[in-house]
Parts: sequence; structure tokens; C-alpha cells
Amino acid sequence: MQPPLTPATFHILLALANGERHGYAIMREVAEQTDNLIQLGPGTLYGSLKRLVENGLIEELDERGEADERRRYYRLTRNGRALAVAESKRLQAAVRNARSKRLIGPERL
Amino acid sequence: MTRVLLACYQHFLRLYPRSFRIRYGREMQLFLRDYARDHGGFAMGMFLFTDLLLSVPSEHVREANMQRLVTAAAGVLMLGLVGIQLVHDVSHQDVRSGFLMAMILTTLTVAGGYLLLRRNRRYSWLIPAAYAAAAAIWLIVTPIRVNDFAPLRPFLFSLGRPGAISFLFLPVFIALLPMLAPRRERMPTIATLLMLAFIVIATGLAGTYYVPAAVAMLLVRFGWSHRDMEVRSA
Repeated sequence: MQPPLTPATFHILLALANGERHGYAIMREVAEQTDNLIQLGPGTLYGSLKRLVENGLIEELDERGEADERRRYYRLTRNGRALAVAESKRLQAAVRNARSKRLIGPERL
Repeated sequence: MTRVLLACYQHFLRLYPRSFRIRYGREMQLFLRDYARDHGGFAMGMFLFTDLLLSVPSEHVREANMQRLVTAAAGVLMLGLVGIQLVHDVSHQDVRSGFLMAMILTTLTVAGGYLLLRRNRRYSWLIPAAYAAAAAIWLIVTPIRVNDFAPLRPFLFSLGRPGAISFLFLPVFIALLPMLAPRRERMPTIATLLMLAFIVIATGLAGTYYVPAAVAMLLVRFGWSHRDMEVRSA
């Protein structure tokens, strides 16, 4: 069984689930997803991105933008997407479990 | 303020491992500029400080592939310190303030020494060697009585709070010198000499608390040499 992902890693994968993004856009997306609970600094973010690329979970795309503003974009690989899905299901099962034990209320639609 | 911080960040980037800095440095600066635009200079300053504090050591440890070694070294260090504390406790000596001071000094020195080792390979063997020699001489020369473990400790307290705090950060400052200096050929040597002077003084101040630190530094040094060999053979 795959060990749980760290919150930062999981949220980076989530941020890339809907398409390609550059570093700062990933940070903003993660902050938004977590109500500003997780704010990734440049060192932490690029360190995480480096390891995710090395592990084949995301891939770097060509740089885009004007001369001084060129940024590298990132996107999920097939493995990265599969891992994000697996982690989401694991969390979903945990929430279901917590609900059945009445630790949290029923889902509101 | 934002402009100053962004200018400073160019220098702070030197704290990261070289390969990391080359690969991501420019984008990290763009990232920070965008963050300042969205959140303001003060928020960026706080954000930056926390990020540097967490990510710089982490990237160095990962870059050197030394997670296990550093953990082991930290374990040895803590074990030694706890052992010494135990000796003092058994003999009913009140040394807790000195112990805390020595622990902070030791941790900072090990961290500072490690940073210095990464930059200055040519003379870097001097650091752990001098460290171990100073600790050994201290042990041989000083009769092992509990009260003699750190006879110069009162000197540290006589410096007053600002003096003591400056002293605590001295090894880190020295270790950072070669990274911040524009002329890197000369500065590492000066930094090494300053570091050696610090080690001798600190060993006198904190006494045998520094022995486990010497072991830890030797382990770190060994890990670094081992990595060099791996790189060469690859």
C-alpha cells in the first residue's frame, strides 16, 4: 500500500490536476485550496517540484513568456495523476469512516 | 522595502546548493517579485525568512544525500549530551543553564561547520581534526572533576546578554562568510582560521560537551568525502 503523501505534495498534485501551471500559480492555487493554511515559499515549492519531477510524478514543460519573465511550466504525468487519485480515495475513505463514527456531520450538498 | 528585500534575495540564493540555485534561482526571484506585488513587502519579508529557514538546510541535506547520516550524527550528538547531563545529575550538580548553552553552541557549530565544509574542501579536514584535537587535549589536560567540565563558562555569562547572543551566532556567521564573500579564493581560508579559533575558545567554554559534536562533525565530513568518491566514480 502506498504511504500517504505529505499535505504539500498532495496539494501540488491537486493544483496541477486541471492543467499546466508555473511555480507562482501553483503556490496561489495551493493557498486557495487550503484557505491559506498551506503557503509554500519559493525554496519549499521548488524543492518539492524538483523531487516530484525526479520521481516522475510531474514533468517540466518549455519556458514561456517574455524575455525576462520566462517561466517553466509543470504538468501532471500519468503516474502523478494516478497517485493523486489514489490519495484522494484514501482521504475519501477516511472521511467516510469519520462520518460513520459521528466525528463529523453528514455531507452538505 | 520590497526592492531592498528582492535585492537581498539574490544574495540569499547563494545559501542554496549550487545546482539547485542554477536550476531554480531565476524563477524563485520571479516568484518572490509576484508575491511582493500581491501581498506587500512586509508580508514577503516574513514569508521569505520562514522559507529560507526551512528550505536551505533541507536542500543541502538532500543534495548531499545525507539524510541518514545527519540523523545518525544528530543521534550521536544528543546521546553524548544526554550522557554528560546524566553524569552531572548523578553528582547533584546544577548545570542546566550551562548544558543548554553548550547544546545550542554545539548545534550551531556543527551546522556552521557543515556549511563551511561544503564550500572549502581543500582545508576542510582541518575543522573536524582541530575540533577533535581541542576536545581531546581538553580532556587530557583537565582533571575530570565535575566542576571542571566548563571552567570558562563564567566568561560567557560575563559578556552579558548581547555578547552571549553574538557569541552563539558566531560560528554560523563565520560559516556563511565564504558564501557571501565576492572573492572566494581568499575568504574560505580566513573563515577556516576564524572557525578554528572559535572551536578552541568554545571547547574551553563548554568543555567536554564538544566531544560528541566532534564525533558528529567527523561523521558529516566522512559523509561528504564518501559522496565525492561516488561522484568521481560515476
